[in-house]
Amino acid sequence: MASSSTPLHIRDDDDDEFDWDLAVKEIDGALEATAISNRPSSSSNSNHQIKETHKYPFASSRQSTLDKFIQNSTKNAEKSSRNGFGEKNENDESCGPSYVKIDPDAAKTWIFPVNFDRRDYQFSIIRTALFSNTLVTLPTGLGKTFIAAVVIYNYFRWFPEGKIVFAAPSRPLVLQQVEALHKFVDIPQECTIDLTGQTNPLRRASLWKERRVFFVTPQVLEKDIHSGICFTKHLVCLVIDEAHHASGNYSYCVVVRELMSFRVQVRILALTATPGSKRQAVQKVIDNLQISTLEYRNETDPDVLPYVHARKIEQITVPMGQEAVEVGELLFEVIDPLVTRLRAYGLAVNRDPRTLSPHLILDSRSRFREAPPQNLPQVKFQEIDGLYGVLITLSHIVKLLSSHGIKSAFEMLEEKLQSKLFGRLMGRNEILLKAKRLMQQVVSHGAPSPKLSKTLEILNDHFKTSDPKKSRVIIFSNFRQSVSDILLSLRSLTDLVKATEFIGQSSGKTSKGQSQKNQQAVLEKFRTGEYNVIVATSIGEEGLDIMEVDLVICFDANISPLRMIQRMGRTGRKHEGRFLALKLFLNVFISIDFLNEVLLVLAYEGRELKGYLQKQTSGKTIIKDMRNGGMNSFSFHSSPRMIPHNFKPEVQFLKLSIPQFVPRGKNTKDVHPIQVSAFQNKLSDEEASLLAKYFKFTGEEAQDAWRPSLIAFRHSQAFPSKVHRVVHSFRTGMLIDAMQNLQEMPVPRDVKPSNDEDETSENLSMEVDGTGPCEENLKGCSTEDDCKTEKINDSIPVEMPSNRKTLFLDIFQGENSHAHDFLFGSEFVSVDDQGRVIISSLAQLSLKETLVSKFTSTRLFEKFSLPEKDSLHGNVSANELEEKTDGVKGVSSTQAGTTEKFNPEASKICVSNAKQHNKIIDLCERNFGSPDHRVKPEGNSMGESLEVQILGTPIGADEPDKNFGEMELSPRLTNFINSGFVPESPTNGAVSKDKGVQFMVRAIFSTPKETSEQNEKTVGGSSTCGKYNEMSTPIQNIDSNEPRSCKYTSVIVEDNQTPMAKLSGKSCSEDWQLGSTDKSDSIGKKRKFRRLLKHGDLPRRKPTDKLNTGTSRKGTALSGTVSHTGFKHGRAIGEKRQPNIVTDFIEEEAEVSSEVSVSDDEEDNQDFSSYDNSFIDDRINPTAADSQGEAGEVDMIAIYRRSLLTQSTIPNLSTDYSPDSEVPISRADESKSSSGTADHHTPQTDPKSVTRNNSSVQQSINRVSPEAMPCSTSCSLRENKGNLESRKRKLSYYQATSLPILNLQNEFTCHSETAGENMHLLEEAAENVGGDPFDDDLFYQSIDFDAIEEEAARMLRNKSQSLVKNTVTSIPITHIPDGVDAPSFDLGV
Amino acid sequence: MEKENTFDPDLVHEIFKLVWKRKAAERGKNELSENMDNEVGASSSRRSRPTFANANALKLSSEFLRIFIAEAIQRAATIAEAEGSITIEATHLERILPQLLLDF
Repeated sequence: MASSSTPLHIRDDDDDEFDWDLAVKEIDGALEATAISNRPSSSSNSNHQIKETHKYPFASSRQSTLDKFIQNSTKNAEKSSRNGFGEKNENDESCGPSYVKIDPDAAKTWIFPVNFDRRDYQFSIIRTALFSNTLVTLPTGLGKTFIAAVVIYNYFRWFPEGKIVFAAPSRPLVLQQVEALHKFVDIPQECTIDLTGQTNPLRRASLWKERRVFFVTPQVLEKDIHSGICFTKHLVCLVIDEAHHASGNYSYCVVVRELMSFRVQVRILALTATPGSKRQAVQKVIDNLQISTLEYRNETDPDVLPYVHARKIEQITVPMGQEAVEVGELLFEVIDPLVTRLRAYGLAVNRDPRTLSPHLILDSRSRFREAPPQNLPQVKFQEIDGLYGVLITLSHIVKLLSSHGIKSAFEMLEEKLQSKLFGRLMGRNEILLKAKRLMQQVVSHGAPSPKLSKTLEILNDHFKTSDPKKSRVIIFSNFRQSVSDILLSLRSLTDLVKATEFIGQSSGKTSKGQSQKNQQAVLEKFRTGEYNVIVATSIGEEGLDIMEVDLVICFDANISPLRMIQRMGRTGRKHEGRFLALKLFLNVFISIDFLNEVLLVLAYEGRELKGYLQKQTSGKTIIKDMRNGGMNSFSFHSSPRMIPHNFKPEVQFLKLSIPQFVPRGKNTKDVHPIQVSAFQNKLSDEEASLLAKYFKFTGEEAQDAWRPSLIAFRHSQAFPSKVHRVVHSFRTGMLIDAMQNLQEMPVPRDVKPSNDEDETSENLSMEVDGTGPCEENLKGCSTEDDCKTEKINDSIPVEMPSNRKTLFLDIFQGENSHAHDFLFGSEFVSVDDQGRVIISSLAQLSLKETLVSKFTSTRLFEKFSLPEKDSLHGNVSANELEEKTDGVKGVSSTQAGTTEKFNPEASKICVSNAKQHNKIIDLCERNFGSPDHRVKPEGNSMGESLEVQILGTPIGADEPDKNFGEMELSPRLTNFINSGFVPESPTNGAVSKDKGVQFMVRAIFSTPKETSEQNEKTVGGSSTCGKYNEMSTPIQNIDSNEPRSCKYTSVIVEDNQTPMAKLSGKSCSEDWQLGSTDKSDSIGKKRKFRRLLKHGDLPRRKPTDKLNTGTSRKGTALSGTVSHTGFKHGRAIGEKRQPNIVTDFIEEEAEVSSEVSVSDDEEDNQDFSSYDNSFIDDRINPTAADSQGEAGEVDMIAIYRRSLLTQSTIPNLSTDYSPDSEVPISRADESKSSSGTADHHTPQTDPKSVTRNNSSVQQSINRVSPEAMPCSTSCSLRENKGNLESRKRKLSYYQATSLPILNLQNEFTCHSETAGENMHLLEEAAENVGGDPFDDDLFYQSIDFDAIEEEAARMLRNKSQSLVKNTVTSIPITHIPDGVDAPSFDLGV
Repeated sequence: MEKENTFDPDLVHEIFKLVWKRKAAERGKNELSENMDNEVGASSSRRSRPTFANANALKLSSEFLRIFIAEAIQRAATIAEAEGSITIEATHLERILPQLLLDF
């Protein structure tokens, strides 16, 4: 281009130079020199135009320029005052910078961006437009906006302070142009603003001040110029889009007139595709906009042609349908007489009615109104006016009928008949009514308008061939009514067509207009594809730049060519488009009779068509006029020179870097876009990468965005974090407490396996010391127990409130997190086990302390629980040790007290927890409420029964089953109670009631204590039993809560059975309790450890608990129960060797509670399953590994269970909850005792209990129960079995976890090994040991041990072997802990 | 309180609106677009932002957010310092987050 332009340039220079000289001389001699230098550029521009467009012969071009100047000179006189053209203007222009400063550097060049394909016609038009007021007439879709953008951009550059206004007739267009402009040139977005009527005038004022490029609607511009907030003085460029609107008093004209009256020098660029269909119209536009140059391009122009997309125009004629023709005939029949009447009045309505159009009638009427015929009396006027009105209506209906079908016409007719005038005149017109009936018939038939159905057909075809998601269709219709009709009919194509309407703002009777906001929304959705069909009225015709539109359907063809062109312009912008003009075509073959009519109709149709063609041709003539640059046809106005003569901008092709256009938020003012870009710019790379690291902005991946984890640092939550200004809330305190409970619970226990220095050493020492002293203590305790028990009894009521409080606390925590409850429960249990011993010694103190501690906080509890554990261990190991423990743990003394207090409470709680756990969620409520239900014995029985049921039911079943079980069991219990327990129960019940029915546990505990006491007392009545009872009772007391409960059960058993049984039951229960509790505790702890280990390195973390929470808790409880069951099983097995007998006994016992026995049997079966389930549940965490490990174990367990089954029915029951389980155990024991073996059992149990106590202490200390297990020899064998089972189970868990669990495994293995190997020795020793603490027990023990030991030993061996086999894998790991275990064993032994 | 240092209520409002808008969009997704007529109206203005906040609420919100964020940063900073880290990482935040959330 540049190369081609240069020769032209040179040539033209000569020509133009001459012109310019003349002009300049004419204008201002003083400026001649500069003018000469300047002119070439502008002249070259014009020459370029000429050359490039090949439209202007040189002569004409010269002439045109001359014309301009001549005009200028001639018009100067006329217009100088108004428009400021001419010499003065030139002078003004030279000092124009006084108004608006010009950037001298920028003014040396003008920039033509080459980011896009350079189109020569655009280039030439721009060059023209830069230097003169230009009307650009360019077919649609050829880049008028680009021209405007480049012009604006250059003026933007040249005049740093100048204001530029871009006016477009509607708001959607305005916004569209904003975006388009930013797409083409890099005018800073913060310098532009779109001002519409939406913008507050006050805000507009400030915006006018701040901004430089304004996109406005002409109305706003007009208003602002009027009000003066628009800086008219700084205006340098005004771009008028859709300039053909500039006629009459449209805002465009007003604006330009105003500007001219202000003598503002402004470059005007008018853009249109259709300047007008007549020469006069075009001239008007030129006049109104002060245009000095017309740039016209046609699609056929060679430089435009390459850029015109193929656009296919199809005309589809649709037969109108017979009904419509008939109706049309009827209507014409109606019209005929009216026209005749009018004619009779001498009015010029002499046309054939069939060619009448509303427009003609309107014309006629207005003529009539202006100049009524002289000979008509005044009175007739009204009638004539009415006639006209009717005629207009009718012709309109006819038009509707022909263009939109019967339905529209019918609706119109109906509506009009409602109106006064029309109704009065035509309401009784037979023919019209007939027509109406006919129409109604058609309409009611629902026959679609032929056009509509054709439209649907076309749409259907269209979307079959093109992607409904990419293709866009616009349907134009002149009437809103038909728009909604079309929309309605489009609903049948919902799968393909998503249509919406696009109509103007004004609200009619039937339809509400669309606000501009809605219009924009519609367009936006249309653009994005949410809609693919727009049904538009004429509003959609202009300027909407929707690239994808590839089909335009013109529902009514009878429109002006201008609008047709505009409509057509909506398509083919990007790719090939199709333009459909649907035309009604009456069926020619109606009949010969109607031929005349048909012809008329055809004429009518023909008129439509003809009108269209006529308009097209008139358009062509105007095109001809314009083709010559309009120089001959139009008179142009001079345009001000914006660039001083001493500047001669040269073209500079430049590739602009165009920033991404950020569309304004719909509601935000103007801050938003700036902020967005600013924020991105302000970010450093580091920050950006950080953002990218944690937040992914890409839509779908947003879900993957990093989210902070709340559980990542559980251990951190056990301690209050440092605060800045906001202190921790109560809830945080709760959380911390809970976390401490969760985490620290395992800590001490964990510590032991984890080799924590102090605690472990202490524990070990405790263990070591404890074993010996424990026994002594136990013995001593046993002696002292009576007193202690009494004390306990005394203390119990005191404790009760405290317990209640603690319970409450626990409950709260439990509510907060069930896990906590479980933890507490387990802790308490452990505490209980140990605490029992402690309680014996410290019961009273503990109570008081507990109260305080309770008051202090739950945290204390947690802390206490830890120290308690230690202290408990210490206590358990030896009361003497308590001091040490206290000393060790400064707080431990009080804590110990608290723990002790807690212990009983805890044990109670544990029981309650167990029950609660069973009952679960309702813990508090049930606890509170439970006492009522359970009352005294029932509570215990309930718990037991519940346990049993629980065992029977899979753990998963949990609550409801348990509850039901409880309910069910209760009758059994009641039966038991009725049988033998009843006497006890009242006391218990009373106690429980006294203590506060609220807590069953308490009641239970209290009851057990009391019962134990009572039992002791009562049992004391029985000689041997009395001793044992006493012994057992102290032990039980020592055992504390659990034993109490056990005692409770045992008492019951005792009552029912012999004292031996009682003793055994008690002892067993104790043992069970001890073992079970310890084991359960240990298990729970171990589990925790395991979990902890699994999860993390920190054993203290209870997150595992959290994770496992419900399951783990349940698991712990279950484990406890399981262990119990295991023990029970073991014992039962020991006893089982006389299974038949036992079963007999059981049966006998069952007689007492036949129901129970039955249930037991059932339960047994269930129990196994339940155990398995429970194990499984417990193991859920380790799951697979557990299941693997368990499988063998399970077998063992199953064996035990089988053996036990006969006997174990009760134990099963007992197994559920340690205390509860104790009761069933005691029952079993009772049964056993009832059998000859039972005697043996009882003594065994006693020593076991002792040993177990010791062992439990040790175990609790070491938490490696194996030691205790061996210690208890035969009893231990049973226990061992139980332990083994539990251990096995544990092992399975451990195996699953296999990491920290090793200790446990070691223990288990050790136990198994030691048990297997040392069993006999251990048993013997245990017997001895057991005998030591309990003198009487020794006898029993010895007796029992002999028979039982053998059996037990066998069992143990088998088990141990199996265990060993099973645990072989674990064994190697266990060796290390074995050492630890070994001493414990020794101690135990 | 350090009013001059608090967040710009407008900013907070924008954030809120963003959230509301998303919520509304989620809600909108759940509710099937019933009829085309409503869509024709494309009355996006009201439906898309059903929630409003008055100026005082915004002020309060911004101050609250400021305190919250300041507290979070300070706490996380102490953790980071304890670890000898110069920058606050996500893990530091996670460590204090549960309690922080409960504190507010």
